[in-house]
Amino acid sequence: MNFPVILVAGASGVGKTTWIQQQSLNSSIAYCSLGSDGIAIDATYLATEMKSINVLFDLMELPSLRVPVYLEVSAQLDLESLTIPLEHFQKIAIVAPNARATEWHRWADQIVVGIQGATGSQVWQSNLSGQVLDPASLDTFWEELTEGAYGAIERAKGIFEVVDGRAFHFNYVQGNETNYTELNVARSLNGRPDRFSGIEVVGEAFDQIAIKQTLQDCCLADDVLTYYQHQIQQSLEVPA
Amino acid sequence: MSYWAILSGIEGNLAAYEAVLKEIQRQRVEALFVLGDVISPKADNEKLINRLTSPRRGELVPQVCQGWWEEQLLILHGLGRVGEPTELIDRYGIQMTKTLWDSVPRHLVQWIQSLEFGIFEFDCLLIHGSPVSVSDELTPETPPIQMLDRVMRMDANYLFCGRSGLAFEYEVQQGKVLTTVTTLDRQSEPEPTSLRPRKIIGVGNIGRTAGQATYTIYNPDTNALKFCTVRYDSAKGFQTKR
Amino acid sequence: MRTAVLSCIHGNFEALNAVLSDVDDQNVDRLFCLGDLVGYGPHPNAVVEMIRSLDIPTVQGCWDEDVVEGLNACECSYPSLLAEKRGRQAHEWTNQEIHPEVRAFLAQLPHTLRDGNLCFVHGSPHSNHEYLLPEIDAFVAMERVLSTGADILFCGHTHVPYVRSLDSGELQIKIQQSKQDQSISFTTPLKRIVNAGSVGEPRHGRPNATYVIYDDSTDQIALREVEYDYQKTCAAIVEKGLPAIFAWRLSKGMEFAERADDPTHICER
Repeated sequence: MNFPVILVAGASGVGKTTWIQQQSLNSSIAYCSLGSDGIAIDATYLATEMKSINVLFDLMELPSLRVPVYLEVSAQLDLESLTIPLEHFQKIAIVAPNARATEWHRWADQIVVGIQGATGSQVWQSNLSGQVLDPASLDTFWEELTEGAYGAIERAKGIFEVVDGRAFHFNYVQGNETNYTELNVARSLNGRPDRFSGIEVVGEAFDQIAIKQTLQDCCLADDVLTYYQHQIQQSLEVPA
Repeated sequence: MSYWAILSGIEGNLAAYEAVLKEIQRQRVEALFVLGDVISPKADNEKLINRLTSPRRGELVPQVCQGWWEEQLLILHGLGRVGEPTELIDRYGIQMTKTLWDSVPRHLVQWIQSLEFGIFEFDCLLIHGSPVSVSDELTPETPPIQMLDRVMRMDANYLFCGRSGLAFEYEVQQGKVLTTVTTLDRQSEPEPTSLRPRKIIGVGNIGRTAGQATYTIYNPDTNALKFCTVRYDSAKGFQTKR
Repeated sequence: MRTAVLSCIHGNFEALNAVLSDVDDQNVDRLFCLGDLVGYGPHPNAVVEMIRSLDIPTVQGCWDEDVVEGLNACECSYPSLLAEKRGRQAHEWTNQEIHPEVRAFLAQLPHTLRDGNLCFVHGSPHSNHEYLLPEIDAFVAMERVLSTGADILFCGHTHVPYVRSLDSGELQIKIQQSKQDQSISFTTPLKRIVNAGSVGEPRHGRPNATYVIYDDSTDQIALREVEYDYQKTCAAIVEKGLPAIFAWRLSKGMEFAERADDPTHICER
């Protein structure tokens, strides 16, 4: 391959995806997330929002690419045992402003300063594909989650489908306001959506069972979903 | 220029209704509203409802909302807002429950149930009683603050009602009040509140008085209003009087 | 005469005890209660027994009514699906928990109480489900007080205490009937709406209990905020099997489920 392959590692929430997104502003790139285990929140976000990024969901296409490739390394992957089947690649670590001599410093070829990430060892992920949430419930749940109702949360991100057919990306890092982005996707108003949605939470000693149950309570049942989708379709058809 | 014709209280009086229909055909009426009490316990309600629901060619389709008699019938059929026909019995005695029940064929109850509680058009609320209930009787003697509350409940500028059977215009022209709010954490400065003019209109009654039907003509573009009275004789035709 | 008015205790016995202690310290002559003795909180029976034993004149709240009638609280006041589910859980738990004599007591509570120029209701004079928020139109607020014939209307239901004065009210009316015109000026003296807040489920951002005291010799109303060991209530919520999230929301002074989103919403039910 003649085009660079760059691995990007760092703690959860430190700014890996954001930095990669910035690299795409002036030129096309490719992206793949390593170790996200099917919870492709960052990949899905970039795929819908950044037309200059070719998002790959596996590495099979790597050899045929003609643009720089950024491989985001999930914070849950062990850097020491990470093996990349390539001869040449760069290693960049995004680190917190006050971080010194961490494993990322030892591993990386180059350091970029990001924001304070999450250091908690508990990680919980859930695939919510096909689930549609009541938006007011989602707001309540997210407020509770980020305000500590379920324990110490340092990082939370997700893609959620809501009843009016839209999808949203939520991105929270402790000490910061949540960033909300409405995703650039078609409204899903015919039954359950068939695109990815899910959540990832990182922290210490939080109640993942309660989080899961609350999320379930935010989800619409089939008959309710059908009813509201019909109402919304009708309202969207009425000419202004 | 086009107008609305607003009627109330047909009370099963087909001759009265026919007289008014004939009259409004002479005017540029584009919408016909009937504010409840189309039925009455002693009338041929089936004939009246059939006439209402099957306008002839060239006639307007009336927009009908629920009245007091309709609500009482629905209560008897277990379809009302309350369980017991207490108000009906208090006013007319227990016998009236049977009389009313018998006066409307069962197959027409569904039509009555389908009637809206009120109709909102532009900035006008058209309703039998008031947003509080079908029984709420608004008259020129109703306290001003209560009249104002009724029209403000739906944020309407005009409230057309028929419960009283009277024809009147009641305008709240202006008002003001000084309000202060104290909470645990702060006290506000006194703040004046004023209000925009609003009107409550009693639209008259069609069927209660034999030989005479009063209704309202309203121009939604100019807000001009007039009360019309038609005199009729069910056997011989009718004369108009304004 | 100093009158204390409490409201919306919601089964929070710790908070009620703290408020009653504060009432003792404040030289209060008598108490009134604006209902919602039960619902959400872990000690509904103890709360009702305390109110009964002290013979506090009480009106029926929307939760009291729902528990008696076997209904769920006005669903239209739940701001979300999540809140509705939590409210339903609280209703089912309370329904299972309360003793028959407590249910009978709640059933006989009146909708309104009147004493001289004071009127006491749970939501509004028109409905237990109507929220009289401080920002409702001043003329609508005026109508609510005037409809009772009282000078001061005490209400609860919103869980955030306030005093609202409505002064120098004037209306100019013109009536046309049978071709005759009539102009009328209508004025009102000072009227007030006083919301007593909530003893047991505060929504003002702090976990403390709130209530009010009216002193008729000075014609002044004081809003009282009382600290208490809310952690005991939180522990009881969890221990008794109520949704644990209620404990966290209490500690933050947030509503557990219902919220006054629509100020003059009147439940069709």
